[in-house]
Amino acid sequence: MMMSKVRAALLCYRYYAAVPLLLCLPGSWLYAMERLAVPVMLMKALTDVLIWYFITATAPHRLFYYYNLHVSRWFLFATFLITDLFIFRVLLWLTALTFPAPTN
Amino acid sequence: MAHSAYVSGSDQLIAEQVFVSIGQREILKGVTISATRGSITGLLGRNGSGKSTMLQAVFGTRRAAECSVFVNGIKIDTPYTRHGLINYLPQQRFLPPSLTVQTVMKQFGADLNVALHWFPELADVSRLRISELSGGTERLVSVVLLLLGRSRFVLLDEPFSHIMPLHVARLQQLMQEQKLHKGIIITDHMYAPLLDICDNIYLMKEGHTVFIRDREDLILHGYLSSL
Repeated sequence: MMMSKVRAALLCYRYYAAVPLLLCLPGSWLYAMERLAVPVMLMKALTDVLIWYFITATAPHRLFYYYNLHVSRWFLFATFLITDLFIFRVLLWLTALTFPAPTN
Repeated sequence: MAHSAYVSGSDQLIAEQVFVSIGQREILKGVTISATRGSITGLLGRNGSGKSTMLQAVFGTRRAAECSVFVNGIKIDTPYTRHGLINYLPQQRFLPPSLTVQTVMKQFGADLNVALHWFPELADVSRLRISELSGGTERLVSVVLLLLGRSRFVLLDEPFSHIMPLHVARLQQLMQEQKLHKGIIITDHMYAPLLDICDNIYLMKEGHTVFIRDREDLILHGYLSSL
């Protein structure tokens, strides 16, 4: 039952993933310039909150698909945030491997 | 299965004392409504009378100042999060455009063969994505999906909108059959099909529900013209 909720919540993330994934690029670039992982992650989390607010404010009816699969609003948001931050963290790790740390 | 924990002889959902305000405006002023397996409850009302608000409050997605939902006497908080308990058809499109018809049917546990038995036309579109369907076909898929899905109660907000008369008639038959398995509440402005299939009809008026016996009552309460 829990797995079906997670699958439904991940489906929700996939549906809205384009914009948050696009925002990973400037975030990774910032990280490549300055190795400030925590502020960059916080900034990404803030953009996720804004995107979620935009989704719930402009097209709340689209979320009824997931509500009908018995996934709560908070679970959808938490999955959205955690999945996106996880992908972003992996991207930062790849950035650190690819680009050497800037020397002052 | 958790689903069976709720099942009893007469499956009944009652929403009592539903109070909802938006800003200073009181939309619902202590409404009570019920859905029982074996019957269809109809909800009529003018635009803005609070029909959709009522259904969403019962479903659990609309914040209400007060709303107590009981299933077979047991109080349920946020009913929509309970597995297999309740589904709600919103007025707007809600199916993810990228999924195919057969995928959404599978996710809701709806038998595609049963859907095709009632609506053979869906065979042509079952492999198509939702984004490739016409508005009417998407609406039909949405209604059939929730009627055949795994839930004990279903709240349908304007299920006949955008659907052609032939399919409306078949949907009426499907609802009559499905009411044996689940409690159904329907709201729609197409009052004639509702009067045909509903066992109980209520009119939302000034934040309250009024029991309706026949078409004459709808005229009396100003919902229909007497002409």
